[in-house]
Amino acid sequence: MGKTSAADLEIISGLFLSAAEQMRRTLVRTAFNAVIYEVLDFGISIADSKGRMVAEAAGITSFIGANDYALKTLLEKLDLNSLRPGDVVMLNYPYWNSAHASDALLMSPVFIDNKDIDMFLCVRAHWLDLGAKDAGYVIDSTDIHQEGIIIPGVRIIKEGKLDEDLWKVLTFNSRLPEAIEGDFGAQVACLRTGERCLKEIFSKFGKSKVLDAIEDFFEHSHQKTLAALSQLPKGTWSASDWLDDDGISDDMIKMAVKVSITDSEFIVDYNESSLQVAGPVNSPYGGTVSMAKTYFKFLTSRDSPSNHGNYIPLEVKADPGNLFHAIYPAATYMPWTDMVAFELIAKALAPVVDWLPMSSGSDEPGFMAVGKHYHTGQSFVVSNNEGIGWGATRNHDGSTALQHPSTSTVRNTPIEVLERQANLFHEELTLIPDSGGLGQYRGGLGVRRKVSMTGETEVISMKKKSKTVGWGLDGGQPSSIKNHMVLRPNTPEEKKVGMYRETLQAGEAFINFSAGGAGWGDPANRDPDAIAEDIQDGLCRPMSNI
Amino acid sequence: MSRFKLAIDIGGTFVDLVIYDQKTKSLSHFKVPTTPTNPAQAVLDGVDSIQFPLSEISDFMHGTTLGLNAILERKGANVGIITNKGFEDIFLIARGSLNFADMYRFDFQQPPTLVRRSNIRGVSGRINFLGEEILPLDEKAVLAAAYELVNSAGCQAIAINFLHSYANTKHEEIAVNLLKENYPELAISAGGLLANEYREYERTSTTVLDSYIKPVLKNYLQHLKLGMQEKGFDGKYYVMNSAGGALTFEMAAAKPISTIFSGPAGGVSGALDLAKIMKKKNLLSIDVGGTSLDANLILDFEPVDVFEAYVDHFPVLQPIFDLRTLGAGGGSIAKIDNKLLTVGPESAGAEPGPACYGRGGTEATLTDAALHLGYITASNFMGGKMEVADSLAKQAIDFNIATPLQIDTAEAASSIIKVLISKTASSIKEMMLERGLDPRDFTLLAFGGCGPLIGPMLFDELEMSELVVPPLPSVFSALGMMTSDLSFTQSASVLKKIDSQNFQEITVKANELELKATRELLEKTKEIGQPISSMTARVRFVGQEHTLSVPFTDGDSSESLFTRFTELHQDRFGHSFSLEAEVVSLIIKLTLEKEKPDLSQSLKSSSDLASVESHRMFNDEKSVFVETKKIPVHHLEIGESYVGPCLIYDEGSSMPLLKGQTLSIDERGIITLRRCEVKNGKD
Repeated sequence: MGKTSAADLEIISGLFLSAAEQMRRTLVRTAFNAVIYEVLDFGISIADSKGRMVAEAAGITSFIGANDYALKTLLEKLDLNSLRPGDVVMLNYPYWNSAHASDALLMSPVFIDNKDIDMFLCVRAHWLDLGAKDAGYVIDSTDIHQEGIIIPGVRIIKEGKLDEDLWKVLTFNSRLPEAIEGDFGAQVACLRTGERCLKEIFSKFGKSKVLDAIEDFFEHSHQKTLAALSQLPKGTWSASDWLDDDGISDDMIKMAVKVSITDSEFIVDYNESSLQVAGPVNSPYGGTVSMAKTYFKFLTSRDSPSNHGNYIPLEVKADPGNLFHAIYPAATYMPWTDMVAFELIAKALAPVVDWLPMSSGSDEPGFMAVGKHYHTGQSFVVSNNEGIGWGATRNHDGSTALQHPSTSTVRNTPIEVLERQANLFHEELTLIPDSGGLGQYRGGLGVRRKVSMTGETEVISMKKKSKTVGWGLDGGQPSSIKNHMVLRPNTPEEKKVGMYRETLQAGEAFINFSAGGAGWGDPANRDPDAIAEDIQDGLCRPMSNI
Repeated sequence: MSRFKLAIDIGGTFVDLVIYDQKTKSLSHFKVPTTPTNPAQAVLDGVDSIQFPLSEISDFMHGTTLGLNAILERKGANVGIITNKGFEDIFLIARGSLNFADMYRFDFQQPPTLVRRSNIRGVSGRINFLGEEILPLDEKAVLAAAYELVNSAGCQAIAINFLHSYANTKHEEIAVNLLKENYPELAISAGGLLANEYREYERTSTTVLDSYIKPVLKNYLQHLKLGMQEKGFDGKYYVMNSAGGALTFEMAAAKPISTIFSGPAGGVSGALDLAKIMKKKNLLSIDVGGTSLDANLILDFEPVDVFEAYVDHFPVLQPIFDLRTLGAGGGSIAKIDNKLLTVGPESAGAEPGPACYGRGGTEATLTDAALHLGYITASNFMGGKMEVADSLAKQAIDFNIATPLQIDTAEAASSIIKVLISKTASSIKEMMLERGLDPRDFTLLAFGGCGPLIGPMLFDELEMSELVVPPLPSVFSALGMMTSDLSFTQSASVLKKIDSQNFQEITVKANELELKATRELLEKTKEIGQPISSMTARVRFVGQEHTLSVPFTDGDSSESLFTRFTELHQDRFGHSFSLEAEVVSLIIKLTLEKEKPDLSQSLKSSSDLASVESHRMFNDEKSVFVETKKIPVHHLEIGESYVGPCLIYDEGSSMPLLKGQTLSIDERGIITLRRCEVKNGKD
């Protein structure tokens, strides 16, 4: 037994979670840009003085544990003795942080009684513009200096006072200074909310009781994870997959994983993957770690909040210079690599862990559009995240038209918004019959969207998994549809693309396709009633069930 | 003579009936069990059991969870959808997102949908975002689709929704009329006519839900009305709507989606009335029953609206009060999970219920813990109609909690309560912080069977300054219905930037909406007299998706509306922008005031209660049981201060007044609890 009673442990751990939740709600409430309050592109965490995560609140699914690596590097790089109450440190250097340069992390040390650092608070969020080479999104950078100004973990606020000089440098490097000012303010408000909550917890229970409870909570979560681990098979399994290209050359890029499970460890090794490449698809090591953490969480603690204890068994290996451990000056802007690699662990383990889902549509096959509105004359930048089919399991069909599992809380953009704000007149939005991979349980279906331009529009098709298919097991098949876009369909200029930027004229069209999920099991064993229902609902044509 | 008013609230376990006697200004209340298979029967049985002369009742007010349950349990009508050709899958594709609770379920299984794909038909016809017709509606195709849906697919209801119908409802009007002419029995709902707001999936979802429950609710209300007529009732029929007002049965049957949160609406309406009576502009109300706690905010004498309302995972574009349901109630189960003691959200419900009920429940619940600590009195449970056994409570607490943790029963029971209170307080803080509010600026209002039980402890935990408990807290929801007004809302899409040029057009739209809504309301209710109207504009900065509801008044100019919006934005979100803003839609709320019960004098309850007795209650601070008193509510004297620890109770609930707390009661029977003044240096 630990030192803390069962009731106090539940109460104190609950208060830390509530603190993270209150930080989340403060950020969402006060954020300026829709990428934060709509797309929820942020991650929040509370850590102890050793940098061990106590509680967190993620916006996007795969941002779980995303701050841990950044905090760990900050603790190594900073002179901790020089930190003072009220300080806020800022970091966006991808190799130390865990994401691309647009994700700014703010960290503040918490001094409960103004003597020592007792806790750390972190919040990262996507900033609209930090001076990258292109506005909006970068799909073809070849080094880090094309991706925005670099802030290498320095104090932007000193003892509660903003460093005006540094701030001037930042705002002059942004195309949208007002927006970054607003988002910075929201992140600081989020940290201050956290600080207030932590002080309340410590004053209510006293420092030693709280610190004991944190240790006990880690131990509790560690034990729960070990118990979940004991349900998994022991051994080593591998899998590999392909990323379309790096945006510079057309060569496919190999992604590979080796997963080893022992009684107390879960080791994910990405070293068999390609070395880092020229284009912006290299993953910072911190991003690789949070991708692995997210899937590990699904495997071991999906329904309970996580902390440092849950991740003690997890080790993520990728040597510096690997695709999954980008080093200076590799370009890292596009997080699609981690998205496409997200299900690699599942691919390795699914043959031996019978409840895992087959592959999903494996990508976030959305698009952006930039231009001037044909009717209002207003400039617009709009984006849409398209749903994909999810993989089947041994118990049920895959889900249809959901966002990628790693970003599943994000929403698509309504047609009525796209038509009102941009030159995107919709001719069709439909599920693609037969796009679910066949199986005893079939994959979920993908989506087809046909849009014609009402005025000149630059369209960015965003996909990095358009050349290869997913995987099913035991006779289950991948989707017959790949993520892709067809520009100017049914014309002599028709072109099939993955990640691509093109200007379309009024009257020209594109069709966006998203892949379905893979099926599980022999299609011949599919329940005849399910087949009949699918046929009646037009989700499958009769032939494909034979 | 119509001497009485009747309100009936159907809960999960009981039907609450409250009768107000306008002559004696007294209330009577009754509880009968629900009959889940035939809910209308439970109401009629309840009416029989009270043996009141129905002919003397003027108003019958009703709150029902029927529509909501039909959706949750997938027991609504077989619905068909008619929409634009090429866009048949909008309802199935939805917004493609999972809610936070499911975000780590990569093996997620979609729940069964409300409308099968084979029940969806597309017809040609297209309106663009300006409301211009690009392609005329194919009327033959509409009829062909309806024929197939009704005759082959067996649909009882059809939901019609076309792209941009908020900007021009013409195609939907044509389709509705065609269907009405040819299928007079069919339940029909149309998107732009029902919720005149943009965003096609949200509008379709609202329309589908409305049509899904239309036949169910219509049958129910008809059945109820016939039954009441047979019993001699000749007064007016009202159903609560989801904004805390009342509708006539006919209005509810025509737009059932507006009754979706009819069940808890009585509590909201009652809280609002109480706020006005007591001149407390900010109230946090908690309605605590057996399985859950419903929290709601009254801000500046208005119930707070939800930003985005959902039923199950389906969005609903309707004015709905913001009700947060937390898994904390009398039946919340305590468990040990490795090193943690957790309480709820799992509940023992009504069957088997807490262990102390003696109906076979073996889990330790909040009620068991409270009974063991003397926070509930066993002697008058449910007015003495139900026996509870402390020995069974103790047994459950010992077996599940105390023995495994090697602590004594009282410590285990007190731990269960502490965990539940801490968790509940955290959730409430989070919900308030989301709006930039602090519980310390609010008065807590506690009602429902378990509201008075946890109220004093939650009040302490949230460091609030005042706790108010209404008379007859366990039937306050039913009582609250009587204080509601007849209310009716309609919306109109605008989508215009706020500038002096557009403002004229916005004003014209507002006037049109008001005239149309008023005409419709008077037609529907056959009431005479001018309703009170209040208009709100849903405004946002250009580029945002979400809107804020801003009051819009006759004397407004573009500047005053814009200023009011930016001030509200500053207030809610801590900042504002120097951007342009646009009015997305206008919403008019019309109110016809109903005659309300006069609760200015103490509400006499009909039941007979015992006298003040001695009582053993746990003192948490010192971890010992102390001898104190238990006082029936009707023994509380006006003007007197009572100091804890002691137990206050009536036939429906118990309230532990803790050490350091004091309470008083006023002439209306409202109890106010505060903290004792701390004396210098002394305990």
